[in-house]
Amino acid sequence: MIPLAFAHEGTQVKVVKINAGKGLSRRLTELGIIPGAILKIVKAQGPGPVIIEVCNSKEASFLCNSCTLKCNTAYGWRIVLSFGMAMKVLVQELM
Amino acid sequence: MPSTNIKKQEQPTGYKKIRIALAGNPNVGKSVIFNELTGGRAWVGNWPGTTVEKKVGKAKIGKYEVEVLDLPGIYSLTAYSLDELVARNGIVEEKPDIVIDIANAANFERSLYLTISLLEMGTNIVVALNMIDLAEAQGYKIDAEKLSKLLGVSVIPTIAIKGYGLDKLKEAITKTPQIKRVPRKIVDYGDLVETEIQKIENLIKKDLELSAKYFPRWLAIKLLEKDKDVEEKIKSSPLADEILKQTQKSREILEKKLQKDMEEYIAEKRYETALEIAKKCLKTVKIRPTTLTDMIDFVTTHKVFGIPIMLTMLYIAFKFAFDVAAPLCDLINWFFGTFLYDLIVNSTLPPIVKSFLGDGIVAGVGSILVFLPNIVFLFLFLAFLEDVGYMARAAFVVDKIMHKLGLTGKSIIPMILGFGCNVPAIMATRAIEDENDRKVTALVNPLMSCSARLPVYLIFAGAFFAAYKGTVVLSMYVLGLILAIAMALLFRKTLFKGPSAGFVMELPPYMMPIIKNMLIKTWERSKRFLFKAGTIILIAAILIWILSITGPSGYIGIEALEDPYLLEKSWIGALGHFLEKAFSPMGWDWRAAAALFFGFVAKEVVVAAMAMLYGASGEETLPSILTGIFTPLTAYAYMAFVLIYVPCLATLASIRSELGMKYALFALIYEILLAYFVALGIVFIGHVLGVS
Repeated sequence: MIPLAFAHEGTQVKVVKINAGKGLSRRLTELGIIPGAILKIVKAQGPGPVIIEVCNSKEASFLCNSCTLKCNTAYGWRIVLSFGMAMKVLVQELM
Repeated sequence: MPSTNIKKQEQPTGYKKIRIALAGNPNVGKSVIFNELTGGRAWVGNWPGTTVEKKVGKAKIGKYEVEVLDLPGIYSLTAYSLDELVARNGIVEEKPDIVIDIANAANFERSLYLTISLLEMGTNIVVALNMIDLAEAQGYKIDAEKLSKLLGVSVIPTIAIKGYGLDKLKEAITKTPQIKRVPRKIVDYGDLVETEIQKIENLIKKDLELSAKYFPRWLAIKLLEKDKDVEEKIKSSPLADEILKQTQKSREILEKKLQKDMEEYIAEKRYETALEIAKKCLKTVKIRPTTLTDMIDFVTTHKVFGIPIMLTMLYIAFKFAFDVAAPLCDLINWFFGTFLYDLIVNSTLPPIVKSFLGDGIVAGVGSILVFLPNIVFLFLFLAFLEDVGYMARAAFVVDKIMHKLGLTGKSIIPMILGFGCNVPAIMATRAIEDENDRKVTALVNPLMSCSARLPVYLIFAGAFFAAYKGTVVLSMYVLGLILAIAMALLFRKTLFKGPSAGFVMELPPYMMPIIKNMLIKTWERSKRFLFKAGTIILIAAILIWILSITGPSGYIGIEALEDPYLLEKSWIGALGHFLEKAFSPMGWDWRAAAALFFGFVAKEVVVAAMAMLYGASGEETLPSILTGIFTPLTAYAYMAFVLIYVPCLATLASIRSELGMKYALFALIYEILLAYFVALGIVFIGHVLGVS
C-alpha cells in the first residue's frame, strides 16, 4: 500500500483507504474516488500532485466493460489531486 | 402526475411571475445558460450573512416573467462547504418554482449524483443534459428519454455554447410550473436503513409546520447523515427532542449492524444509485479516442515544460495588460489630470470647492482609475486562460512547489491576480478548500506587487538607477514574491499549523472560450475593483484633503496644497515629523515619511504626494529633486518599504470582508513591521558593504 502521491505515471491503482477528514472524503466520494475504485494515473511527477481518471469500482464495473485495454475509460474527465490530498489516499498498485 | 395550480399572481401585463434557479457542478456551462436565458443582465449581491455571490437575472419565457437565480457550482447538497449550504438554502428556503439542474453529459454519473440529491430534497427539477457533443466525442451516447422516465422529470439534451436545445429547455420551463411534483423515494438505502428512516420520518410528519416546509424523508436522511444545518432546522420544532433522540438511536443501531459510518454509507448508496441509472441510460460505449485535450495536456502538464509554459503564459498576460492597455491609461490620466482638473480650476466655483473637487476628489479617484485599463486587460487574459481550461493545469504544475511552501497549487491563481490588483485576488482565495491555506494565501497576497506600486518604482529607478532601471524594478517584484513565500512559510509554521489538506479539482477538457462569457467575467471582477475601491478611496481622498488644509493650529487654507511650507504646519506635516524620527535610521525626511501616509489610500498616490510635498514643478522635476535628498541606497530602501508597508485601504477592506477584522488588523501590523525591518536591513547591509 502506497500513498497515491507516490504512484507511477501510466499505472493503475486500486483505492484501499482514504485518510481525509469527513468533508474531504465526502468530496472524494462525489468524484467517484471511493475504496475499491480503480484509478488510472495519467500524470505523476514523482512524489507530487497527480492527475487521475476514475475507471471503475466494484459497483460500477460496467464502465470498463467495453474497454479492451484494462483502463481506457469512457469517462475522460480528469481529476487533479494536490500533493497534500494524494498523500491521504492509500492505494494498491495493480499488475 | 397530479397537477395542481400553485397560487400565482396574475400580472396586469398578462405575464405570470415565476422563479427558477440554476444548479449544477462547476464547469458545467451554468453561466452560459444563465447568460442565454437572461441576456447576461444580472444584478449581483451577497447571500444573507455570507460573502458568497448571489446572481439574479430576469427573462421573459412564453407567458412567464422569470426571475433566474444562479446558484453556486456544487457537486452535492451537503452542508460541508459554504457554497453547498448556500445553494441548498437557496432551494429549500427560497423555494423557486423550478430548479434547472444542468447535468454534464460528458461527466454523467457525477452529475447524476447532484440530480439525485436534488430529487431527494423534493425539488421540482428540469434536467438540462449539457455538452452532449463532448460525450459523443468521448465515445458514448445517453438515452435522454429513458433518463427522463427513470427520474420522472423532463430531460432536455443541450449544447449550451452552441445554443442547441435551449428552445426546448425554455419550452420545458413553461410547461413545468403547473406540475406539482410528488416527491418520491429515489434512492433505496436497503431495508435496514429504510426502516429507521421511516421511524424518523413519521415523527417529523407529526409536526405539520415542519413537514409542510421541508420534505420529511429528506430531513430524516439528512439527520442520519449528521447534517448540522438540518439539525438546527429541527431544533425549532416542538418535537425536536423526540426526533433527535430517535435519530441518535437509529444511527447507533445502524452503525452497529452495518459496521459503517452512516454518513459514508448514505453517500455511497447515493453514488451507487447514480451509477445504476447511468448504466441504464448509456447507449454505446466506445474506447475513448485520444483527444486534442490529451495532446495539449501532454505538453502543458509536462514534467519539464510545464513550468516554462506557465511562465510564458504569465509573461504574455503582463505584456498584454501593460503594453496594450498603455494608451488607454494615458487617456484616462489625461481626462482626470488635465481635462477634468482644468475644467474645475477654470470654473467659477468658490476656491474651496474647486480645491475639494480638484485636489481632493479628482486627483484622488483619478489616480486610481488610471489603473483600470491594466486591470481590465489582465483580467481579460486570465478569464481567457480560465475559460480555455488552462488554470486548473497551472494549479497542477505548481502544486509540488507550493506544497513545500505550505500552500497549495490553487494558491497560484490569487497570487497571479495579485499582480493586477490585490482586491479581486483576495476574493479569489474563496476557491481554496482548506481554511488555513485560504487564510495564508489571502494574508500574503498584498506582498504580490500590484500595478499601483509600479509608478513609485519607475520614479525612483529612473532617478537613481537609470542604467539598470529594468533590473531594479524587477527586483522589487522578486522581493515581494520572496517575502510572500517566506511569510507563508512562517505563518504555516506558527499561526496556522498542520499540513495542508490540499485540493481535488476537475480538469475540464480544453474548449474555445465564448467571448461574451469572458467579457462578463472580466467585467464582474473589474467592477469589484471599481466600486469597492471607488467608495473607500473617495472617502480617504477627502479625508486626506481635509488633513492637509487643517492642522494643530486649526484651519490653514487650501493654499497648503500648493505651498510646502504651509503644508508642514498641517496635520499631514505634523504626522510626517512624527514619523520622521522612526525613519531616521533610513535617512528619510519628514516629507518622504508623510508621503507614505498618503500611500495608505493607494500606493501610487505616494508619487503625487511627493510631487506636492517637495514642491515639484515644470522646471524642477521630481526625479531631479529626489536625487538631492535620497542616496541610491536610501532610495532603494524606500522602494522596498513602499512595496511592503501596508495593504492599501481597498485591499484591507477586502481582507476584512473575507477573513474578518482581526486578520485585517493583523495584515496591517505585520506588513508595517516587515517593511520597517526590510528597509532597515537594506540600509544596514548597504553601509556594511560600503555602498551609500
